[in-house]
Amino acid sequence: MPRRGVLGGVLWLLAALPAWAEVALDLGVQRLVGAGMVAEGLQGRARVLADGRRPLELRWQDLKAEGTDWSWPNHGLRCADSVVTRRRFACHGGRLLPDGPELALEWRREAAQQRLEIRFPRPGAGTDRLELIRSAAGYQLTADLSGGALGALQQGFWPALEGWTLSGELGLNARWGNPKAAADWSLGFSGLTFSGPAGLYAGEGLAGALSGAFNGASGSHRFRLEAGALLTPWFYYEPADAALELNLRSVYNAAAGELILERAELSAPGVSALDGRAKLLTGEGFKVQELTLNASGLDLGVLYRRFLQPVLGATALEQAQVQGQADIRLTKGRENGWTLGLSLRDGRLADRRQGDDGASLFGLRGVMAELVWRSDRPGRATLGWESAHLWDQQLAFGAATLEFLTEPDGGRLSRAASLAFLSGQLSLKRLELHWPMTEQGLEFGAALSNLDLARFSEAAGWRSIDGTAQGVIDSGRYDGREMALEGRLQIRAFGGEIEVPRFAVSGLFGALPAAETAIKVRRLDLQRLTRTFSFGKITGSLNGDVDGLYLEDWRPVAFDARFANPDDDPEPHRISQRAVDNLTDLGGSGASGALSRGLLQMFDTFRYDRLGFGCRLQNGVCELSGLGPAEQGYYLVQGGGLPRISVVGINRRIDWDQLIEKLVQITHSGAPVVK
Amino acid sequence: MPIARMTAPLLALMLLSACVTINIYFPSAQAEEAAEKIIDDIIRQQQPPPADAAEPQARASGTLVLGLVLDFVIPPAQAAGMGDFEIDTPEIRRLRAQLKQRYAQLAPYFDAGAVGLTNDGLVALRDAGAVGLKQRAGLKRLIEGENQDRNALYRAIAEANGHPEWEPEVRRTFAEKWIEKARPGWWYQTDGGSWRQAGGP
Repeated sequence: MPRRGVLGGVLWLLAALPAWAEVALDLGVQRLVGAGMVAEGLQGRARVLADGRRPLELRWQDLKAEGTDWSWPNHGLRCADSVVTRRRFACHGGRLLPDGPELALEWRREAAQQRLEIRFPRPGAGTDRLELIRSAAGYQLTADLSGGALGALQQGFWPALEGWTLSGELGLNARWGNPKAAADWSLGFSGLTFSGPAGLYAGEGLAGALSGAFNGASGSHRFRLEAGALLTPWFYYEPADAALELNLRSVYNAAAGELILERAELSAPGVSALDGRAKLLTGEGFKVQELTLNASGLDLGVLYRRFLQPVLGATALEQAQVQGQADIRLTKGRENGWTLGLSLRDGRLADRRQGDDGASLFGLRGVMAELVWRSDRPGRATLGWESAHLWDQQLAFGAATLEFLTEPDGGRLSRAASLAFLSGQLSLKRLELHWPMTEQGLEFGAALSNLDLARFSEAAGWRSIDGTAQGVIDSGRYDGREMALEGRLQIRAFGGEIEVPRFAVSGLFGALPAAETAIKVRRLDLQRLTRTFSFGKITGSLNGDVDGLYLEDWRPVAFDARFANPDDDPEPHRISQRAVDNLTDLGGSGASGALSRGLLQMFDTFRYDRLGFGCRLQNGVCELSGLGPAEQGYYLVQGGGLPRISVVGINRRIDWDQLIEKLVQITHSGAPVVK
Repeated sequence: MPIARMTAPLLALMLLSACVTINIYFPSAQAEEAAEKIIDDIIRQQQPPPADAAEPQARASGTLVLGLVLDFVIPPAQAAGMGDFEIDTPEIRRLRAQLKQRYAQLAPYFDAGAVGLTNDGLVALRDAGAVGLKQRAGLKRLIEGENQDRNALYRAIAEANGHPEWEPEVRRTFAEKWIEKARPGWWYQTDGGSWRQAGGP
């Protein structure tokens, strides 16, 4: 203590100097210890001016509280005037250095206590005040702080909060220290607005209270949030009409370094009952040794709307409809990892795409789930639903129950499951879920059998197509935003077979889904095909191959396609007037209806020998080909018998979009016009 | 000896050839045109081009015995339109579609001044106070997704043109065009890093 005595003596000497002399005193102290504080690298300059003022400036390299980690390096205090006596130190017109707020500081030693008071002038009117009293009864801290002072405190005392913005009003009353380790506190806050550096944590206009008492061994704690809005990475909350309140009791065993939190009660909308108990080790930080948390009667709809929806912004679940009741049990044993138990009843989930009149991409009804997930070993889960749908309920799936084996980082289907889908079956062979969803997501493999094409085409808004489809999804992946599929399909339709030996779809549900595939068509009945698409009437069979088919947003971008009657076609080959007219109309103008205006109108249909065409699509242009060279071009239809009608294509390049536009016009033009 | 006599000139030639570099300059004009086209498409300021393509015409003649001629007269194939500057690859089309889809969600935040255009062709949260706390998490995700796609677009365009090293020039071109196309009231970052509001038309 001699250095403290020397410094005090020097300051006192300075204070005692007569006012008529202008004096300056520079001092440097390497280390100063006292009142539980340690100051290092202390530099000071004290002056006495002719008018009697005593300006003072103190800077320190570090200021620490003995026995704690708290440190306040590289700050200082400048006073326009000061009073230094053995019982009083006052700093008037002060400023926290290097660029802190203005303040006035006063320390007094009184009969039974020492009192430190700091006042910060508020920008408008009034004063922020912080008072610390040390007496035989211990310490008492009273604070009434707002904007600027909060900023100063944050800057000065909590370097970890660098990058945060903080404003609002705080009222604090705390006592501690006698008996040792006993304390009680109450902190009221209003208009509290804060924001963390990455914007992950933020509050706006928060009002509430934090209070508690601790007698050295046991304590009680209460947190109440009454107004404003709070955002964290896991939840958002706006109390509005329902305050959030958490009460709990604590037991502290200093010898064992254990803190037990128990009888936790949460009062929040959507939570009917919650209780919990935790044992924390206080050695280095706080480490959870044991924990039991039970929440029952959780209303998932309320929890989703009030707590989760805002933190799910710009995800697939941003506009979801969620309903259901759940119970959750979270435990951790002394020697074990974490175990999460979830029981879900009467669940309902549907995503709602924005700006689409609430149409949903997928949905589940009558959901039930039982889950036991463990952080250190496998667990089990069951997920079931009564009905499911894709694309705004157009594609409906039947009831299903899926059984899973859970792993610490996900889960997988423990046995294949099947569910009804468009009069057929969808067998889910493989389903794996990996956390976090955004990195690996969901992977699955499935088989489709006996899918009713009539129901599928109706659901897709197409013309009704009779037939069945079966297929295999070898690999499906979903990362929370987009889906990718690889597989093969076999379709029986139009009396023939359509085989998709391989398809790969990427970006499904995304902005631009893309697909790569090839198609083989064998012995399609042209009569059924042309009737379905109202193209007139053509009889015969059709074979075809589409190679290198690449689609974006389900529109062809490239392919190489060839279609023709099979060589050994046993079916009669006839083509109607309307079909010939439509073929010519594809060309676009005057020739349309040429047949129905001349002598040929006496014939409803004409015999043809062969038809065939090819299109190689690239860069929006279809390079056409036909059966073989004709005098002016190439044959699309080679006539047979009398009257002999052949259709010859002249141009070899056609604009794809215009061709499609024409086809759509023709196939939607209503009743046939053959006269 | 002939070999010895040849050695010096050969060496000199090798040294010379080692010094020859072929500079392929960044095609600024085409890149600007491409950036303009892409940005207009995203923010839909441009009307669709007039349908001046010739209507397809058909010539058909029917005779009792011979035939009917179907004649597709087709407008010429559409060229890419940017000379040799490539912006039409599946990856670029995918990124453009994503940017276009997200734009509808981001535009109100540009209008409100919450989000601004940065001088490196990205977007940034300019004024968190202009956004309710409830929208903050969604906006943060929108900004992250937008910047991820913009970075990928600049890289994809440079790579599609066979010059990955052009990425900084592509980025600079886009940064300028984004700011040029900013609607009145939107905020953008100057070269010095300060924020300025775009003026009227």
